[in-house]
Amino acid sequence: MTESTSSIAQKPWADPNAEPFMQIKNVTKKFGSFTAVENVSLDIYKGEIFCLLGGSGCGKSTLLRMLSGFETPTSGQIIIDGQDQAGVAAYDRETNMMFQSYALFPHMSVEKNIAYGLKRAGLPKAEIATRVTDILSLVQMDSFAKRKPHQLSGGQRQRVALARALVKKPKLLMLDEPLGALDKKLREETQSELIKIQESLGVTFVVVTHDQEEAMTLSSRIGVMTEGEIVQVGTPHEIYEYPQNRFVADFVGSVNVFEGRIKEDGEDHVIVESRDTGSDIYVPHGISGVEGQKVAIAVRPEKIEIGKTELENVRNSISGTVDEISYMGNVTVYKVVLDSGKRVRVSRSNRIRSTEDALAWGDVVHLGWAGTAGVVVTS
Amino acid sequence: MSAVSKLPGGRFLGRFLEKIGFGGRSLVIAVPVFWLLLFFLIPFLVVAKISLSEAAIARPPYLPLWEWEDGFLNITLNFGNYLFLLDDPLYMSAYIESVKIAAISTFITLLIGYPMAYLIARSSPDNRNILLMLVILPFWTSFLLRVYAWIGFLKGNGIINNLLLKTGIIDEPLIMLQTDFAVYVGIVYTYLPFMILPLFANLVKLDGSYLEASADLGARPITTFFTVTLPLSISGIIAGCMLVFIPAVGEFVIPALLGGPDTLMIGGVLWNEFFSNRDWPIASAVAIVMLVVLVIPIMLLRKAQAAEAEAH
Amino acid sequence: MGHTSKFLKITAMFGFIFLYAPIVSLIIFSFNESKLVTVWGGFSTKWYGALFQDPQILQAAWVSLKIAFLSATIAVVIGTIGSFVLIRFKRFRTKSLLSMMITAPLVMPEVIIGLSLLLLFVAMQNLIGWPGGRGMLTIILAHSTFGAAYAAVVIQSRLVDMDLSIEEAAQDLGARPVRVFFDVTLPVIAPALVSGWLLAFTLSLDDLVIASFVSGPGASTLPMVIFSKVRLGVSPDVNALATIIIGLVSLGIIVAALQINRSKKQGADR
Repeated sequence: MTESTSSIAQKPWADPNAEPFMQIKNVTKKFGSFTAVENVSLDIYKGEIFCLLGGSGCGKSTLLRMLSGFETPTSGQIIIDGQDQAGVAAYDRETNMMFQSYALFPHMSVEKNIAYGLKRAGLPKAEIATRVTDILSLVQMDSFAKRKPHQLSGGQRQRVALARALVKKPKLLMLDEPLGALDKKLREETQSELIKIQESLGVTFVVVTHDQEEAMTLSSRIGVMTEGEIVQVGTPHEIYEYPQNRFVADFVGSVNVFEGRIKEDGEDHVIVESRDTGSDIYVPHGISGVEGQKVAIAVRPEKIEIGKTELENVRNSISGTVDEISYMGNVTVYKVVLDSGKRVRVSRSNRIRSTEDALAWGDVVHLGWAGTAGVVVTS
Repeated sequence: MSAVSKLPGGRFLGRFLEKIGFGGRSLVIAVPVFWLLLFFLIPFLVVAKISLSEAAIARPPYLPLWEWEDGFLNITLNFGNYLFLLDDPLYMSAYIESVKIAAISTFITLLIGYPMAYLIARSSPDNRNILLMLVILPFWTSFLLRVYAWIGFLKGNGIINNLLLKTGIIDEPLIMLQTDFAVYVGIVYTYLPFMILPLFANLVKLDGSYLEASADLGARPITTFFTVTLPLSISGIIAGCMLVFIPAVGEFVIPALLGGPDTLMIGGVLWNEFFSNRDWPIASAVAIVMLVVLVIPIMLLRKAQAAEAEAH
Repeated sequence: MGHTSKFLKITAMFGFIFLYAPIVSLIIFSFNESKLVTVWGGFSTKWYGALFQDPQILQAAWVSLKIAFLSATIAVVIGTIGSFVLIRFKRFRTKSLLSMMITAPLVMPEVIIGLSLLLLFVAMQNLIGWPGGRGMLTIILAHSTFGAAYAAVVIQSRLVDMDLSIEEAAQDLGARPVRVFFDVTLPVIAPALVSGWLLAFTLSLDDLVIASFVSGPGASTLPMVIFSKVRLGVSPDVNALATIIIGLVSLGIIVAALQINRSKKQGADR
C-alpha cells in the first residue's frame, strides 16, 4: 500500500490542519439565466475517490467539466495542487478525464489511443512505448494493443479509456459515469478493479454518477448534489446513516419520513410529537432547534421491526395493517398503513425460508425501532 | 503544460492578437465568409446595380451608374429596365408561365415521389439502402444527358411512338417533343430525386407504432394516412416541393431542349437577353425580379428545413 | 394493409421505370449500328471509336475534368472550414450571414448564379484587372462556390452526428485546437469529405448554365459541347459518351457507398 492510501485511511477531511489537494471555492456556473452550479465549495484530499452523486441535470457534470477546463466558472475559484486553474485551458491542465461515452478515437488502435496524450506531452518514443505497455498490462489489455475500438467489447473499451486517461499520471482523474454503459454483473467486477487500480497508482479520482450503489462502493466520500448545489458531503456511512436533509435521505436508499413538532428538546435527546404515528418519537441526539419547531424523522425500512405480537426492546412502537407485500428474494418489503393513513415501508431480510407465521395482507401488525434508528432531518 | 505556453511571451502574444480581435478563430472564420461574400453575395449587388444602368453598345455593354463630373458625384438611376419589363407582355407572361409550369410539375413530382419515398422508408434497412441508391444514382449522372435521353423517347420517330405504332394503339405518331408536355416530363423526371430525398428523410423518422396505434384505435389505412402520416410529414412535403419548384422556375436547359417555340420560360428569356440581345441591364432586371418572385418559396423552404432539423 | 402496399409497390415500380428507362435506352442505343438513334440496326461499337477521334469532345472533356478536380478540391476545403465553424464555434458576429450564404446557392436558379458571377468578374476586371479574362479560372471559381454549398451539407450532417467528447478527449490529453482538428476531427469526418468531394466533382462536370455564363472563348466544357451538339438533334456518339459517363459515375457511387458503409460500421460499433 502506498503512502497516500494510508493517509486516506486517516481521514484527512476530519483533520483541520490537513492540506486539501484540490479546492473548489464558491464556484457558480450560469448558462444564460439558468444556474447549473450554484456557489459550490468543496475540498478534496490526495488519494481520495470522491463521488459527486445526483440525478440528471443536478449540475454534477457541469462541475466536472469546469474541473477539466471545458467550461469556465462564472464566478469562484478552482485550485488544484496549489495552482489556480483560472485561464488554464483544458489542454494545459494536468488533469485527465474518462468520458461517459469513452470517446476513444475510432480511427486509432488501442495503443495509439493510449499513446496520444504522451505524444502531446512530447515524451521520447522509448518512454512512450514502455508506459503504454505498462498501463496495458495494468488494465489487462496487453493482447489487444493493435485492435481498433470497434473491435472491442464494452468492458474492454472501458479499460482502454481508463488506461488512456491514467497513462499521463494526471494529478486528478475525472470519471464521468465510468461504469454507466456496462451491464450489472460487469459493473460489479469493474468497481473493485477500479478501486485496486486507484490504490496502486495513488491518483486522486473525482467520479460523477447517478447510481447511489456505485457511489457507496467506490468512494471515500460522497457529495450529494441537487439543483446545482451540494447538499451534503460525507463518507458513504455518514450519508446513509445520518442524512442531513430529506433530499439526501430519500435519494440515497429509501426512507420513511414522519412529520412532527419538537415536544421536548433535551441535551442528548429529542422527543417529537407526530401526527403521522399518532405517538411521540424518541431520538437520542440533540439538535439545534426550539420547541414547537416543525421537523421530520427519517427511519430506514430495514431498521424497523415488524411482528404480529407486541415487540420488545424497541424505543418507539406503533401498529398498523399490512397493505402490500412485495417478495424480492433476499428481502421482503411490507407496506403498512397506520391509523393516520400514513404508509410505512418495512423490509425484512429473508434469512430463513418463509414460515407458517408469515405475514399476510390485512394482518394487524406491530412496528418498532430502536431509539438510535431514527434521524432528525431538516426539510 | 505545452511547449508554447512555456515560451516567455508565447501566451502574451496570443492574448494580444485576441485583444485586437484577430485570434486564430477569426482567421478561420474569415476564410469561408470572405469567399462567399466575394463570390456569392457581392455578385447580387452587382446585378442589382447593373439592372439600374442603361444599355449601350460598349465593352461592357452598359453605362456606368455614377460618374465624377466637375467634382460632383453624378448618379443616374435608371428604372427604365424595370418599366420595360412591365410594359412588354412577353416578360410578364414568361414569369406567369414559368411559375405555372413549375407549380404543376412540382405537384406531379409530389404525386409520384410520395409513394416512392413512403415505400422506401417502410422497407427493411437492407432494401432501403438499395432503393435509396437507385433514387440517388440518376441524380449523379449527367443532368444534360438525361434530358437528352428524353429527346430519343419523345420525338416523332422516337421510342414511344415506335412502340405505340407497332402495337397498333395509334396510327400516326404523336407529337410530344417540342411541346409543354415534354417540358413537364423533363422537369418531373430530373427533379424527382429532389422530391424523394427530403420526403424519405421525413418519413423514415415516422415511428411505425403511430400507424399501429392508429389502426388499433380503429382507423382504416386510408384514414390513418390522412390523419396521421400526412400531417406528420408536412414539413418534408414543403421542403421537397420547394426544392423542385425553385430551380424549376428558373430552368433553362429543359425548355431549351424539350420545349417548343411557344414554350416561354423566364430562364430562357434571361439567357436570350444576355447571349442573343447582349442587353445586360435587362437580363439583370429579369434576374432581380425572378429573385423577388422566389423570395417566398425560399423562405418557406428555410422554415421547413428548420422544422425538419428540430424534429431530428 | 394488403391493398395499400400493393398500390405502393406498383407506383414505386413505375417510378423506378420512369427514372431508369431513358438511361437504359441511352446505353442500349450507344451500341447501335444505325445512325438513327431510336431504330435498332445491329450491334456496333463504332460510335465509341468516333467519340475518341473527335478532338473537340476530347479537348472539352479534358478541360471539364481539370475544372471539376480543382473546383471540387477548393469546394471541400471551403465547405469543411465553413461547416466546422458553423457547427463547432458557439457564437460569432457573421454566423447567421455565413449560414445563409453557404446554403443559398443550393436553391438559387443556375441562370441567376451564372449571370451574377459573370457580372462580378467583369466588374472586377475593370476595377482591379483580375481575374484577367474569362476562361478556366472563372469557371473554377464559380464551381468551387456552389460546390462548397453542396459539400457543406454533407460535411455538416457528419459533424453534427459526431460525438463531441472525442474532440474533448483529445484536448484533455493535451492537444491544442488546431491539433485536435487535424488529429481527430478530420480523420473522423473523412468519409463525408470524400462524398462531398465526389458530389462537387460531378456537379462541376455536369454544369452547363453557370459555365456558359462565366466561360470565355477557348474554354468550352464538355456540357457546353454536348449542348451545342444536342441542340442540332440526337447523335449516337453522344449516347456513347453518356454511357461512359454513367459507367464512371456508377463506379464512383459504389466506391463511395462502400466507404460510407465501412465508416457506419465503425460508428455503430463504437
